[in-house]
Amino acid sequence: MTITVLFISFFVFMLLGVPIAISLGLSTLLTMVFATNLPLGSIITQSFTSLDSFSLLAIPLFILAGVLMSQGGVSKRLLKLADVLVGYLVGGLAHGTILASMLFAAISGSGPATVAAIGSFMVPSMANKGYDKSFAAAVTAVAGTIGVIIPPSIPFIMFGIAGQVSIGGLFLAGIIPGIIIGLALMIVSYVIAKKRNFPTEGKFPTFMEVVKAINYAKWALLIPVIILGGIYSGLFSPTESAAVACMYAAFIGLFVYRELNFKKLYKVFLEATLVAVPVNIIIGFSISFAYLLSIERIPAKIATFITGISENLFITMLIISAFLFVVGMFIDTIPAIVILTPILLPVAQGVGMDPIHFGVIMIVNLAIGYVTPPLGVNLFVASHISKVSIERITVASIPFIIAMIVVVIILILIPQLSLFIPSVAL
Amino acid sequence: MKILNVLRKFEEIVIVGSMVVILLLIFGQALFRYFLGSGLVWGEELARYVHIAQIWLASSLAIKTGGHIRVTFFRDLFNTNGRRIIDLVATLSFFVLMVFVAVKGTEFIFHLIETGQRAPSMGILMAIPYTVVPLGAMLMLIRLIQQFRSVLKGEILDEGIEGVDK
Repeated sequence: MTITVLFISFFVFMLLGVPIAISLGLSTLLTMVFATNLPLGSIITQSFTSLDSFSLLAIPLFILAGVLMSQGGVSKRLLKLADVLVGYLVGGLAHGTILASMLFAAISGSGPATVAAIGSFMVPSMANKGYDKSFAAAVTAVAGTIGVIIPPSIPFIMFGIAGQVSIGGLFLAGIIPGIIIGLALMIVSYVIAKKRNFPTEGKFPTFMEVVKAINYAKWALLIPVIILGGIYSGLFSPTESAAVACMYAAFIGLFVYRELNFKKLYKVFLEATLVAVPVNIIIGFSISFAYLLSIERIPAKIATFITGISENLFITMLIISAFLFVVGMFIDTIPAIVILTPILLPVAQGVGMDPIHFGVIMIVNLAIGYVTPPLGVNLFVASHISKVSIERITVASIPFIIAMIVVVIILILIPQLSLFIPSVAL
Repeated sequence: MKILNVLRKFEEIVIVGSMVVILLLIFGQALFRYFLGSGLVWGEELARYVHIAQIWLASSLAIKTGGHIRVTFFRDLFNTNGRRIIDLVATLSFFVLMVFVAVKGTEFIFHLIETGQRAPSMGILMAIPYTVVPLGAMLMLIRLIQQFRSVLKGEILDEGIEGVDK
């Protein structure tokens, strides 16, 4: 009874377009009033204590760092470097977009922000050079998913908080999978560009050209070194590294690149906070919801159900991945993580999976959700930038999505791809 | 609407101010830990409370900017009139929860004042940081009334897209 009220009311509110955070709170409240005699005041205390977390502070700070970077002139320097390194290949601009997204991902923790930062330059220039515009938009949208896989990553922070898994470990685990996804997308772009005869220009770079491009982008390239180096060496916690990255980015933008000023900073702070707050408020109401789930033993029941089908780790993970793929089509990444981590993580651990490995699989799966309709945030941003309809971008994205699914399977089969770097560092 | 202008100024100051304070506190924390070996305990606690205040007090402006994360594919299946009705119901549902938080939250503040519970390291009354919960709910109520009126007038709720200026 309790669970029926909880789930049905949650889905009804969610479908009506009530913000997810509020849907969680309302369904919890309804269930408590009509199906249990738990004290209602706990919703209030949970909405405070669940947010009282030092790790959670990393989210607004990393979002701020990302906005500071993109407003401060970092993206165009990364694009220049990417173009010199891979621009001479068949479909060079597509490779440049993917590589630049990977570099930007090492600075930003958000998928849509990566699409916006890279796409606003690359979609027009691909279109000018005779690339199919829907292909250009699709490459940008899909490459943006790497934004949440290569650290820093807001979804990894969320997973770490929801599942009590080391955020630093998750960050380090995301590096190799992020690079593999980038390579997979480049292979697909290469094949498509060859088949459809997209123009190739630029020549193999000389050593001096590479050095010059690296020099041009050097201050931007130092950011991932600071963030990852700080976490890797144990010098900073992820939250502290985010603050250091912000200070560094503000300094570079103000005094080195001189593309920021104090008036612009005000807008940057405002914009970053308005992106971070809706993400965090979900946590405020999710804990009471999760509490109701746990007293009804829902995670245990789902675990029994899935392990009833098969106790094999690979098959269990395939079932979970298929489920996450479908969830990702309809629900945004952050709420999906907050709601599902307490349910799915015990299942994965039950079949002997490392929590960090599971985190990587879960985030990659949900990242695919950024480019699957009807709710695919990267598609929205790419469509907004390119003025190509979401339907056409989706069709052009299909080969890339298939490549990402193949990568998911490889990542499940070879845990070392995720676990090697954290095992060396931590 | 004068009151909305005042509200907007207040929201912006809270947002930008809280972000600056959080950034400086955490950065300071990192420096302290690096040079002195340990951070300030109260600094971390203060940063956490400022962050909670930011979340609760900036949520109202996020209503105005369409920033709250929600699912719209179902609503978008309907024509303009259908969407408007759904938006009104959604706004009303949001309103109900915030009335609950505002009322229950205020009660809880009085309860906290009675018990005199204090923050572990700063030693301030816990009622002070908790105030942002009912206060934020009240600010959201104002924004929700505004949203309800604009939907009634025929405006379709738009969604903010991260990283893209409207």
